[in-house]
Amino acid sequence: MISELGLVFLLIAAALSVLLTLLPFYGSWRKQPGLVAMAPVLALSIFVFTGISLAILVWAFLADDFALKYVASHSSLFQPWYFKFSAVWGAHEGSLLLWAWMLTGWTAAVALKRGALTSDEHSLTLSGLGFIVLGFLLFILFTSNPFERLPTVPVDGLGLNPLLQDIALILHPPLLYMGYVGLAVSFSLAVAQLWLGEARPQTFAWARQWTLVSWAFLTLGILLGSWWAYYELGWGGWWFWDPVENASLLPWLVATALIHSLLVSEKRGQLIGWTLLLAILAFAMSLVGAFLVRSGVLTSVHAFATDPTRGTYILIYLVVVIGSALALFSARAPKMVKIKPMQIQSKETALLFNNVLLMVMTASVLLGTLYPLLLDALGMGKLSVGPPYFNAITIPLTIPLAILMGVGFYIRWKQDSVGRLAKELWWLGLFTAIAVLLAALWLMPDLQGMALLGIALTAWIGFGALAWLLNHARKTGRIAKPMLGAALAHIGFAVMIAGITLSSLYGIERDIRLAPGESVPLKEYRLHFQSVAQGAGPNYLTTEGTLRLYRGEEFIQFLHPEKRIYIGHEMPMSEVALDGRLSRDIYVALGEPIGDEGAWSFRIQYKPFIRGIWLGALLMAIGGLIAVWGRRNSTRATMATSATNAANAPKEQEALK
Amino acid sequence: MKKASWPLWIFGGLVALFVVGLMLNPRHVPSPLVGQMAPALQGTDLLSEQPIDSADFNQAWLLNAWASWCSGCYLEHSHLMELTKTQPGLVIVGLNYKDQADDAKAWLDQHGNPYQHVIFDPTGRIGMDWGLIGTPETFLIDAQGRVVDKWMGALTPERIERSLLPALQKLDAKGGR
Amino acid sequence: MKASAMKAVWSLVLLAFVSLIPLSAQAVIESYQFDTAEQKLLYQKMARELRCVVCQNQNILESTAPLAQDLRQQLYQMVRYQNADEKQIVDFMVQRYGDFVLYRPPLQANTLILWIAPFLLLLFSVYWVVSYVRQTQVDAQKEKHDD
Repeated sequence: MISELGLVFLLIAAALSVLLTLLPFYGSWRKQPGLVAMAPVLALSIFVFTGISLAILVWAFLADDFALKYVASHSSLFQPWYFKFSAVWGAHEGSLLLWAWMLTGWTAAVALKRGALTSDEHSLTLSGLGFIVLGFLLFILFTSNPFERLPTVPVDGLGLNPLLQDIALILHPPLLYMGYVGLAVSFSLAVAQLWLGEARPQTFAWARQWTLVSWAFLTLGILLGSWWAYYELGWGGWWFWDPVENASLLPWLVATALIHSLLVSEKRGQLIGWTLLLAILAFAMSLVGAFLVRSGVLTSVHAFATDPTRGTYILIYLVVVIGSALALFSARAPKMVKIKPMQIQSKETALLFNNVLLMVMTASVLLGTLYPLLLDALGMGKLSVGPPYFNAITIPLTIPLAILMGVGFYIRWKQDSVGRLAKELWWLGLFTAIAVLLAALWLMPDLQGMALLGIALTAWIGFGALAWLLNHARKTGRIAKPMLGAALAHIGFAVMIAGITLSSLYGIERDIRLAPGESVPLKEYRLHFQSVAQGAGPNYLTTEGTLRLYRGEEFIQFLHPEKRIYIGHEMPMSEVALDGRLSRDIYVALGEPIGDEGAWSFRIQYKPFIRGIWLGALLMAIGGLIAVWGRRNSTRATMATSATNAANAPKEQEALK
Repeated sequence: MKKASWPLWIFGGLVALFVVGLMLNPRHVPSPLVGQMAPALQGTDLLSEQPIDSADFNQAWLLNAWASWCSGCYLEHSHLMELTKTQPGLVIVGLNYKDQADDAKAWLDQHGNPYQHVIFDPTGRIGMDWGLIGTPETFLIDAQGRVVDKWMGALTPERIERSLLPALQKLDAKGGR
Repeated sequence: MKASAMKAVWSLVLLAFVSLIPLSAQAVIESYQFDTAEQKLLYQKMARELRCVVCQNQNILESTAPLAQDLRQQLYQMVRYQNADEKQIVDFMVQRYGDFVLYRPPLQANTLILWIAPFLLLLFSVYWVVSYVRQTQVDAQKEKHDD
């Protein structure tokens, strides 16, 4: 019975979101503050009701309520409780409910934090969010009801896909979804600004905070997904350019561009049209991603059980939400642009170049992802676009981006010159050269050009950001958090480049056969195969190998790669064994028995500095969050001044005309 | 930014692509062999253990890849048997793909044998030359040795009616039989 | 065709597809030996760049499907015993499975846009940025004159 309540609460939430869409909009239009004031209560109630609905679903999972089709298909009695819990978002219906709930959470947060927005801006933003929430709730109610009942109640459920029974996968979807839906906030504000025909600099500062938070979540979500793929799939890869991965990268790339263009719009009142467009596109990419993942138009390893009805719904939703936003953009944006002269040699232009590079990358990844579909639709053949294409396109685009990143902090607003910059930054070139030289000596004799390029870019960005931060700290006697955040995020990217370069160029991968008692050398290490034993976990049977890892004669540790067969699933899952250090990973996957003498095949890998990839991404996310935190504190301190600025803003704009 | 409608146009194109995409099947991969000369089929007959060479056929023929472990093959089998009656002149060659000889023979005994020849391909190496990705798969080859069409998955009565028989009629008209 | 008949056909086709893959889990990791380091690199590169045509979206190196295993075996034969180069391997695979089998789309008429669009877009974007910035200066000059 209680599960019917879940549906009822969703219906209530949907009804309330109709009100949230209409009341603030009507209230601000008719100047009725009473209606506008209802928005926070509505937003909070929607959040609570959707939350109760989600909680009921969680309860159904924890209580093994197999009367629900969704529970029966994705959970089972023997699943440990935490995987029953994470199975809630293990497939389409539940993940959509989680997605919707997070969206209502962001909406409630926006309702409570008006910040520097005017009442009109705030209520229209909430109205937009209400509409987006409504769309998601209707999507669940019409096509993806997680509370659907089975005619007969099975004794046990089918169980969660074993690939998803993993700690990283408990966290990966929520983090990713937080990022996806968070982009709805800057989207709604952009639409509100277009509607009002006015874009004040303070609103961009506000939007930047929200975008940074969702960007940080997106970064963390992608990071965990990549980390999971690395150790769970057993191939040692960390990014496969699968359509589903690309679907998460696309909004990330646009959001990264948006964070930087918001800065220009906030500080200089420039690129306003561009910024508004990016805000629309970032959320558009979230929705396009959802369409690609859930509609089945592309084949992917990770795709949800797909259904054309769902695809059709998301497509209609996409057309309504994004189509109308872009239509509004085409009508209003040209009138909102204020002409202020820009210089080629200035921070504004440098950031615009950064944006353009990121957007070219976005467009290329989108093109590569959709190209098979495009050819098929035109009847021009069937082909695949895979990693070789995406690497060939994105790596060259990263180089100019990285070069800009190194000097970006030092370029001055309004007017700068390459000559002045060269004079100020000669040391950065020198340090980079020294770093490359040291790296070359260290990498001898197997020196590769790409490795030196990677090191050069790492050093260039890393030293650039670090010195900028230290210089400021020295001058002002303290470390400003927004600066710390920005520097950290850039350093994170540098670390990531190093990780990608070194692990992909100097990684060793061997497929070998070992009999018990045999050893195999791997760089300065040695793996000694001891034995294989059978065992059982809570809901699986396992075959576990035991290997000893030595460095020279020194014993380091035992490694236990496993092959598991989960109850109800035929395919064996491999659990790799890792000896992970910052400087390198040793990665062992168990293959199959060969012959009768107890020999097994193994895939062993040596991956230098592969942790740099995830460490870098982590630094980026932390940097983003520190920047938000720092800004919040400083906004509070300067509330008084910004209030006067807001009062003066219309006058300033008059003066500019 | 004077013209701000370009994002809308691009978006429109994208939506049009998605609409078409929803109607397509991304998993359907056409065979590159269709329209090309068929690879030479040489192998040993499962039943007679005699060598077989497609060069000796000199008429249109069907190549049907099957295995005793394949349920789709079971589904289409009665329709193949039917076809031997309705199209008496048609040569149907079986490609017994990744199977055990005994299983395959028992299967044919039990369900009937629609094949003039059954080529035994236990490793799947012959199937690879035909770009086989599973069973059942059926190829139609004309008298000149060109692949006319290919059907992946079971031959249902509808597929035979709407696609295979018209293709055969076309061959008759062109003298490709 | 009636909708129900259509549905029946599709479920048959789907069922047939499911049966494409025998349900025995095969070896993923083979301990292939090579004569030279180049052979091994070529094998690994090609196994990564060839798509397992029956899988959702996996290369043949990482797939457990029997067909992927056959293709690995074939690739190994070609690399080690037939001394095949990349082009020969690609031709062999494309002849049988079409362009779909290649993760690195070949440069040809129907992939021209795919390969050159990113570079054209980059050139155009740089041009756009420069002309946009110039235009702001021109416009600002004009406004000054108008005042």
